[in-house]
Amino acid sequence: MRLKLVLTWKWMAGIVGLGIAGALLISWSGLVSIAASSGHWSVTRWFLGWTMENAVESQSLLVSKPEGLDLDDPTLVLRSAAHYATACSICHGAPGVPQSPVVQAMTPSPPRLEEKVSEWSDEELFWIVKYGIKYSGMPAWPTQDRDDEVWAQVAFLRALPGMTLGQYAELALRGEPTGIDFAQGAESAAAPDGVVENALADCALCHGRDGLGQVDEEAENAFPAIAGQPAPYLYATLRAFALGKRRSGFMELPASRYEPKVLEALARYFSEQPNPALATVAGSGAEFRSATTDLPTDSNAVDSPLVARSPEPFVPPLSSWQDEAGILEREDDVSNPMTPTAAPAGLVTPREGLLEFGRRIAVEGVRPLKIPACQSCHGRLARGNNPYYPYLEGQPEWYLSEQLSLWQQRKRGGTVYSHIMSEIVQNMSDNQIAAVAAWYAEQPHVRRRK
Amino acid sequence: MKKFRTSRTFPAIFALSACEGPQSAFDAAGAEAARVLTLFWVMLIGAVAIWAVVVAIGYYATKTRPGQHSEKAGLRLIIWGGCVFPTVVLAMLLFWGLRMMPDLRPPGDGPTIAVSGERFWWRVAYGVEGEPGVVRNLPIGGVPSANEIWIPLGKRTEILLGSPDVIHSFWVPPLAGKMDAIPGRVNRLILEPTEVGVFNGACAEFCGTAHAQMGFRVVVVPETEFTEYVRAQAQPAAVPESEGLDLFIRNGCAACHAIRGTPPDGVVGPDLTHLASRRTIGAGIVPTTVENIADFVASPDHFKPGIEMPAFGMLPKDEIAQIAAWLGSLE
Repeated sequence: MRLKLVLTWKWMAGIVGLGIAGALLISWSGLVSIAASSGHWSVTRWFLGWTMENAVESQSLLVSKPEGLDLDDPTLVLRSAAHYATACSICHGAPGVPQSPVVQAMTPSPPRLEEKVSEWSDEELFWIVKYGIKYSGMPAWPTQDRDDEVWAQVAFLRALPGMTLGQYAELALRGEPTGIDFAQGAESAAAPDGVVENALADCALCHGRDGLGQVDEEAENAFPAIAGQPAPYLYATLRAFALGKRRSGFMELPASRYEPKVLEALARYFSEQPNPALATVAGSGAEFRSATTDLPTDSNAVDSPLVARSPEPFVPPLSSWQDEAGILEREDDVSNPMTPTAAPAGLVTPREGLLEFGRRIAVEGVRPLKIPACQSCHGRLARGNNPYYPYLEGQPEWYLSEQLSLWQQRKRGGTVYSHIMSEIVQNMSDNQIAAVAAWYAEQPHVRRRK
Repeated sequence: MKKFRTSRTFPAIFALSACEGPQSAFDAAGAEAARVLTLFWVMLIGAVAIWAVVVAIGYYATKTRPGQHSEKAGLRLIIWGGCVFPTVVLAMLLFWGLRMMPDLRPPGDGPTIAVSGERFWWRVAYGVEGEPGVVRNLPIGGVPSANEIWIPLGKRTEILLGSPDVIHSFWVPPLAGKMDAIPGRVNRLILEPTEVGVFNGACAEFCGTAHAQMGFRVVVVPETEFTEYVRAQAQPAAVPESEGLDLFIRNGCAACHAIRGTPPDGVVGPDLTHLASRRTIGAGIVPTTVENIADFVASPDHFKPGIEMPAFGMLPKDEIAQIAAWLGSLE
């Protein structure tokens, strides 16, 4: 007697159904080993690792490195150093920093990166840092809108293998007393002053205690200056970071670590720090924007009316400070695909030409392209500025152009005023953005303190 | 033809209100519009008459006298009715129409006004000097205003039209035909009003989301009044100092708007020096009242979708109120 087995669709469906039922039964039984303590079988570990490597390799094919990006740029490395120290080193360790026994008890346990980064290409590292890895404990970048930050992090990872303990401490810890004490939590039993002191140390890692952002001689201008910015602007910006209204993997972390009261103290502290770029000049603050048209671009011209600041900056009472970036949704409502793309006035290559082009945009605007003069809002006027409008003089060039580009892509966010910039930048070309960023960066500049 | 000149001769046909009023081409109040309206009536009545004859012939051939018709009669009908008659009628219309064209655009003998169509409003400058042509921009200078154009009665006012962004079309139906405002060229339109009054104009070329909200007013007044008006518009702002002005500057409004006689000198948006003297705000959208100004400042995109002015609804309410009150006092 022969057993005849004919494979029919019914049989197939039955087998699949049985398989699903079996899987559900196993899960339902509660006997699956999910304990991190037991680790993986070596075959499982191989299979999971193999799957992950293939996925990263294939999916990073879509990543392309921005033109002109130099991963050896010390500025780029420095930008992400403190972030590595506060966000990454707890799991991955760092030169002189051992991995915590807590993370070593993870399955899979995160690798030390000094030995690992050489196994990946730049694009693959970018992919891992930006998107994270499911089921491994590796988080995605806090925002998907800031590729520039992810590339900075990749630059740091590339520099990591050769880094000595001393170099790492200099780059990432800045000799700040404690920085962040994760074992106790940043807002532990310390007195309120202690929390602010902790937070200040946190800010100082990048922006310096003087808020000028010049923490390293070799990598000038890695960070925007915050000294002397109006306190309401700083506070609203910190809150926007904390609420995710302004996106930055670097800033969302510290801004959300502290409660509004601490952020307020930080805003006040940094607003009171002197900023050489904003030196007060008696008697020259009365002119309006047009009075500055013949401003020299000489960076020593600290006494130009452009940077003149009213002796008593207008600061509204704290009760009226705005922090919730509540109307940002409107940004998209008023978006309009028909906005005319700005026709750049030719490519300006020599630096002087670029600066003059930038000066014209900043001080006079470009009427046919509907670009108002930046200084109308960002200049220092005797009548006082809205304290939510920051000054721009002496900010790093990369920072200004990056922010403008983010606005152009409607990804910047920020305080409740940020949509104003979004509307304006829609009319700007890349060339105009580069020019205006260059001009502001060259304005009376903040040099490293000694 | 005289009796066909205006819609008043046909009250029974055009009882619909849409055919009368400040935005109706049937209510001609300008020389060009009147000529075009005459042409329209002649063509309409002629077309109706011809249609009636064709229908009558068809009725005769199929109902009154069905059956075979003589070949000769058919041939005669085709030659005379199908070839000669249309040729003569169309040639006459063409001749008449061509004859009319130079008269529609005679040289101006009044003021020259530059009007720039910009998404989504009209920049106006009185008393400019310039020529139409291609690869040209509108002449600069003159007395700036926006969204309301005053012209003198009985004069041929020359409107120079341009645009910095996309193609718009300038149309005041009671006064004249349409004329496009095209980036990179200056077009010319003559307005020769024959009646005083306030007329509505509109953008007649789709230009974006707020195209339908891109209107304006044309105010026709006797020449002396016009001269007086332009002189008044040339004056600096009536209230050069106020808390409202400080707030206007502090919040950056001055980046785009000029108020002559005060520091704000922005040129991106409409000149607001005499905002309250205009009948409407937002390019013919709502009457000029302090409440409307405040609402417009807070959420311009609610009045005009896609407007390039950012919303300032995040400003404290009392600041908006003070700005609006001050703008409302600028007559």
